[in-house]
Amino acid sequence: MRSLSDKLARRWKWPAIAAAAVVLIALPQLLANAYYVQLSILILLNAVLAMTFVLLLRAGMISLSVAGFWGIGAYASGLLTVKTGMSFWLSVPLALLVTAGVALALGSLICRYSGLGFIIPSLLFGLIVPLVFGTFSWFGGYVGLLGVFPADSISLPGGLTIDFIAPESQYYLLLALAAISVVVLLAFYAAWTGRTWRAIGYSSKLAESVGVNPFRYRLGAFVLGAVIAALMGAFFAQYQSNILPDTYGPMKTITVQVFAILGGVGFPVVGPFVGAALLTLMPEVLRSTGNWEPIITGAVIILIVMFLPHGILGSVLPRLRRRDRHKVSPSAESAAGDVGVENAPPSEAAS
Amino acid sequence: MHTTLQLMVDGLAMGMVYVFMASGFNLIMSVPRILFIAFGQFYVLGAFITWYVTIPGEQNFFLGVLAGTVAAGLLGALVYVAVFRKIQFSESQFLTNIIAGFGLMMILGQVALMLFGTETRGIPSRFPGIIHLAGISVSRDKVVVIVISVLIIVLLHVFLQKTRMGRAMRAVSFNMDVASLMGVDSDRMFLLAVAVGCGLAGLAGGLMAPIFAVSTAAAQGGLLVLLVVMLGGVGSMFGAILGGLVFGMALSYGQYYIGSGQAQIAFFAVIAVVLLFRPGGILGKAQDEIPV
Amino acid sequence: MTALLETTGLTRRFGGVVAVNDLDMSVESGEILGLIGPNGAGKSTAFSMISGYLQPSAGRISFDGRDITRSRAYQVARLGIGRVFQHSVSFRRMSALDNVLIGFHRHHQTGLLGSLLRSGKARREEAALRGEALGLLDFMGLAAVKDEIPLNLPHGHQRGLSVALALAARPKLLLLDEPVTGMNPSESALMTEHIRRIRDMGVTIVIVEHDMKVVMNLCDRLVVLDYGAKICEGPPDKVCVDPLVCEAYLGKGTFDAA
Repeated sequence: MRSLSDKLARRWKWPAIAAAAVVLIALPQLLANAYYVQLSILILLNAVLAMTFVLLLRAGMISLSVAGFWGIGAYASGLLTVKTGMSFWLSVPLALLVTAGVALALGSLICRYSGLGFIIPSLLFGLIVPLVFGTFSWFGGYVGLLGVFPADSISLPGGLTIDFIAPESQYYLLLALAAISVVVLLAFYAAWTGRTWRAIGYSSKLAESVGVNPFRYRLGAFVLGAVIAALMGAFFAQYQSNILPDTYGPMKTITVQVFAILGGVGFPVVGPFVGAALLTLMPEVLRSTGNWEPIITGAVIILIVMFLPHGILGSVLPRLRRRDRHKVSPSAESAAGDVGVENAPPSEAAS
Repeated sequence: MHTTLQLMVDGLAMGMVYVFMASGFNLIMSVPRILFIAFGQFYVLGAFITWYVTIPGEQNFFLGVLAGTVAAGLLGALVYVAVFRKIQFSESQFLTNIIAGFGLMMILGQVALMLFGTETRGIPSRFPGIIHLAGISVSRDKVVVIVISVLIIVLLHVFLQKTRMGRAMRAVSFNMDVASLMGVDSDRMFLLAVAVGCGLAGLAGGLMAPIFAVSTAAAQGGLLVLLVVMLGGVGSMFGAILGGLVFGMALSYGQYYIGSGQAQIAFFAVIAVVLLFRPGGILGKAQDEIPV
Repeated sequence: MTALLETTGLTRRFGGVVAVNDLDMSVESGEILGLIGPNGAGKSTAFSMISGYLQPSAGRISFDGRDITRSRAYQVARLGIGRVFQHSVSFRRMSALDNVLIGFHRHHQTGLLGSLLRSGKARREEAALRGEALGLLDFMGLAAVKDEIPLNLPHGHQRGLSVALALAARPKLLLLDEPVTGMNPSESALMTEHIRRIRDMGVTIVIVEHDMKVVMNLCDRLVVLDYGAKICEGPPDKVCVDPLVCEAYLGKGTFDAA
């Protein structure tokens, strides 16, 4: 009973992925100058952060902590390398471990609740993280953590050394880390866990009635999202060299949310890319309009979210998500309905 | 002792800003359920309009405040009609509202910058002089602010509890469907809530103009307001008032005794603890009864 | 012989209101028990307590010899109690087949690692479960719509899907909350037939329902609640002539066993 467009989608899926991979790998060579490479790095970074937001959204949580975990990863890795002279490569797993610990602790408290009961504590956490980093000088205070070195070079057998000073090498480093994150995410989505997350996102009550423990699955998604964000943080620390606490506040999380929703949350990997690319490139394209740029960008955001309820991808590729075939009035459809997160319901304890 | 009282009065005055902001934000959050992150911009608008009317326009200060309030309210209504109305009756409006609010924030922030520039302006004290009460000295300004604020809060309370429109709004915040069965037009109530809420923000901006500086940077406090609302309890106007006052006092005492940075962390930690035990906020109702 | 499910003194208060009042009830293995009563009599509340969504204010619940009074919903489900909810709840934008697959949660064997790596065992189990899910859909007459999302299905099919999902968890006891409400007579008859066949498969059933025709035809025994308390119990023909029951229903609609 597969429709024609479903069949078409299947035929072109692998070629499309291969083409995308080729483009991504060749990108630095194709771009005119280092500035564009830096833009690409930003887009990639934001895309992965947006993916973690979508992950949590699927499992029924609207998280305002994304930037907080990003920050913990950045500071953990940065502090370890700056204060102890540790190699970047060693600091990464440690930073991930620290973040996982924090996420586990926080998640144990808040993943029991849904709706506002989850959102508000996650916002609190998102506010506290930059505040802590900024207030205590051990972290560098508001001046920031300075002098984080780029990742140390790797010596391969045969005498070849890869260093990470040039923007292109930084891009490839990020690409590798992003690829790992995407593979992990996709593996989870395709597995039993992924299906369960979706079910919980739609109705944790119904999922419970067949024996699913929603708290455990939410916690798992929460920790996974935090760890991936932290990985991006560790990269960012060595990329920026100087990291400032205010970068990692809730405003960043909301920006990431915008990327995710505009791209289309029905597409957990490609959607964030589209959203991040659009919103990172638009200010560039609109540079000539000077002062009007934020106004135009803001207007575009509003228009998209009002008229393209399923995001850009969701509207352009309607057959690739299971769309209603009977006419649901357009105003009744909206972005996150694709993954089942409804009007923030009254907070309910999961018990 | 004097210092404590002094700090308390200061805290009260400062708290009034947060009371109005929290009340407005709470109204917008409980009736049409919008997490309005662009809210701070309306404070800025109120402040600047008040400034324009009072200084270059050389009119009465209170006229300026009125103008600021009305302007903010009207803009809020406009924003609702243009943007949020369409979103309200769809699935998962919560997130969509946040995104729309973000875009709005970008637009309004930039417009504010373009119109008002980056300099900070001030309004000279309208009521210069000090009152000596019970052994403490309080600037007249602050007393005026407190008195007017109390008046307005009472008015607001009367509006919400006694008038038909106010009660209709509250009905919608509890249960939209039942309210519409009783003949309440939800859309109109949403519009009203947003207009009044934004008006309150403008009021806060205008009233506080002589005390705090007037600048476009003031909009940053938006998210903080959400916290105040959470502290006091979503859905409860008294909660918003309480939260605002607590916040103002905490800032006042905290800044004096501990210093700004640590005070903020301590404050957040306290909020976190409060929310842990009473997730609905101090005056919030039990979990499954919060209208939001 | 001990009952499969037994409640003793089950009570639930909401503030000043007593929704369920000292309910003693038992369900024998293999029977179809009807829980009936006027609106607001506390039937759904009783269901919610039994299935672990609501904590009792007082009393005990035991299932298959175990005390489940304090157990949570997912724990109760894992012990073998299934529930079909009153309003069609589904995993809205997943296909019907995927909906049912979730139901196999407590029974699926593949561990996390195997599942992530798509091991041979994982793929084999997935294929087997898909087959079983299809079988359940077919049993409820929904095989044709296996790829449709519940949002697109008519009401009757959505109810059928809910039942298929509950069955996937292989429950020993199935709680059906108003399974035929909102259905036309032919859909009702179909569902009734399905319920009988489910009982024949060995599942004990407790059904809350207002449609008296269905209740009379289907149930072996009835328990009647009014204002949260049990006012009568027994076989249908005896219950329907009980004066207390008639009084409870007086003015609330017909109560004839035709």
